[in-house]
Amino acid sequence: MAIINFLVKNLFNQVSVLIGLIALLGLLLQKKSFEEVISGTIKAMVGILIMSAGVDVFIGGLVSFQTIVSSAFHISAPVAKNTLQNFTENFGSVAVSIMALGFLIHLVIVRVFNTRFVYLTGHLMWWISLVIAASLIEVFPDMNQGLLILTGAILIALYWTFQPLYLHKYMKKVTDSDEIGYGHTSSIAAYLAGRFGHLFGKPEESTEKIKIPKKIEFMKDITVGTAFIITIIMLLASFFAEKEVVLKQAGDLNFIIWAILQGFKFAAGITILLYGVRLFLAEIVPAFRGISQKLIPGARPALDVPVVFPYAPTAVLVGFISSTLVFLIFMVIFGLMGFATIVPSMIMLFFPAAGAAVFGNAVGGWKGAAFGGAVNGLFLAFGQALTWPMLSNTAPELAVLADPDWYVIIWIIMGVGKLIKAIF
Amino acid sequence: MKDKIKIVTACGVGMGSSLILKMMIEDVLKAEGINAQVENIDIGSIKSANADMVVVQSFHEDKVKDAAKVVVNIDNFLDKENLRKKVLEGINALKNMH
Repeated sequence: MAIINFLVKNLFNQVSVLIGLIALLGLLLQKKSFEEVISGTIKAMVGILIMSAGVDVFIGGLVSFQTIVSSAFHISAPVAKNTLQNFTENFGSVAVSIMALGFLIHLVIVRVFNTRFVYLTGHLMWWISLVIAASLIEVFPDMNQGLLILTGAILIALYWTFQPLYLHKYMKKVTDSDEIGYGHTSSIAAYLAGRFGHLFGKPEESTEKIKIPKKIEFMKDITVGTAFIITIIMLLASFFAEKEVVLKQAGDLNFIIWAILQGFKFAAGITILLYGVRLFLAEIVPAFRGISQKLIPGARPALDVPVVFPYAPTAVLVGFISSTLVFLIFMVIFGLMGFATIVPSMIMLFFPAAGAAVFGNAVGGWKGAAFGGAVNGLFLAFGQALTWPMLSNTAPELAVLADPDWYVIIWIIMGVGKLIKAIF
Repeated sequence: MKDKIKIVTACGVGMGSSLILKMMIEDVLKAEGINAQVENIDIGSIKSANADMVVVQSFHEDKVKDAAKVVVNIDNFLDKENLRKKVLEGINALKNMH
């Protein structure tokens, strides 16, 4: 027993060690050279540690933002009983296990039911694993770890299999081919845009026939865009916030300089955490791909959202603008109502909105594209406000980093989970 | 010329489509027996990547044209023959520069 405890504590419960082991196994399976195996394993492990450092910086900026904006609206800041960093430290290894086992179950389902699309959007595979782990632990805090991993793995395998399929009807319309699957956690927004976009306009009024100023393009750089919008809102809010709150937060610094630096810190944190995630994914996803090619020859990948951008590049911008406007309007409404303080995260306002807009454009022209973006803005605004408190005991920050599907997954798991708990 | 070419793929956050592109390019290099290093990165960091050749989707082309000697654009992720042709052309163009 002592040996098992030692292994569990030092190997399987340390997320960076576990990722290292999985990367090592993957690199060996791909028959990489000795130096590639060593450097890949180290990169994967360091990647996890960098991600965790990034989360720390990000949370620092996030808390300042929430405090000041809440004070400006005279409401209380969102409460967090736990943090994403803490949660990843304690349950990151559960998420890694869910991801690895879930992928194998996904491959079995694809193979047995011949559903064709293998999900390979690596960063979202990681985040959804964390989201599912957090949702399950919120409802069943005492669940045995093995059962937690198994349940999570089955749920995530079902999502990865079903998501490219239910959207494929509209994906075919967008790409004019049967070849590519869509593998991104904006699927619900893209589906609604594809399903209802025709109510708003005609495909002939395509976004690609209109011209919009290219100046907005600089906002698409995620570091620049995030720093820019968060800082402007921080500055505005610090003028309306209670003086003593601002002064206490700013300390020795002039509050304007402090607000700018905190906004930039938020962006810096996101950029660091993305860098860490990129490091470990680059070592693990090729192994996943290699295994899927061996087990299911002829399977097609479900690909990340930018794969649809070339079909309507202007729709991408239309969607981004419309989702950001809708989100900011609701940010003010929620604040004035005293309902919630929500945070505009540029990555989530851009990528899912852009995808949904391309689908909306295919069935309803530029109005359909604007509708797609608006759907995303609504999902993010309501999703964040409602979901932050739901994850308060695990990782509430996930609600700020979420795409539309994340919210739906959290709501379904926690809703059904509570129902099951009530019955038994 | 350096002994090893550095190819960098890029996309918005640098871990979705750029990683897929990287893996596809590595398949081509392996099949052709070419020794080159492939990395994936986000568009915002491309200037710091020190690449000999950059591979992106065409809507990113404007943002990367100063980042490397050769820029290749790939829009169709399933047309492996087109990818092979364009990557090899890019590598040849690099070799001819020296």
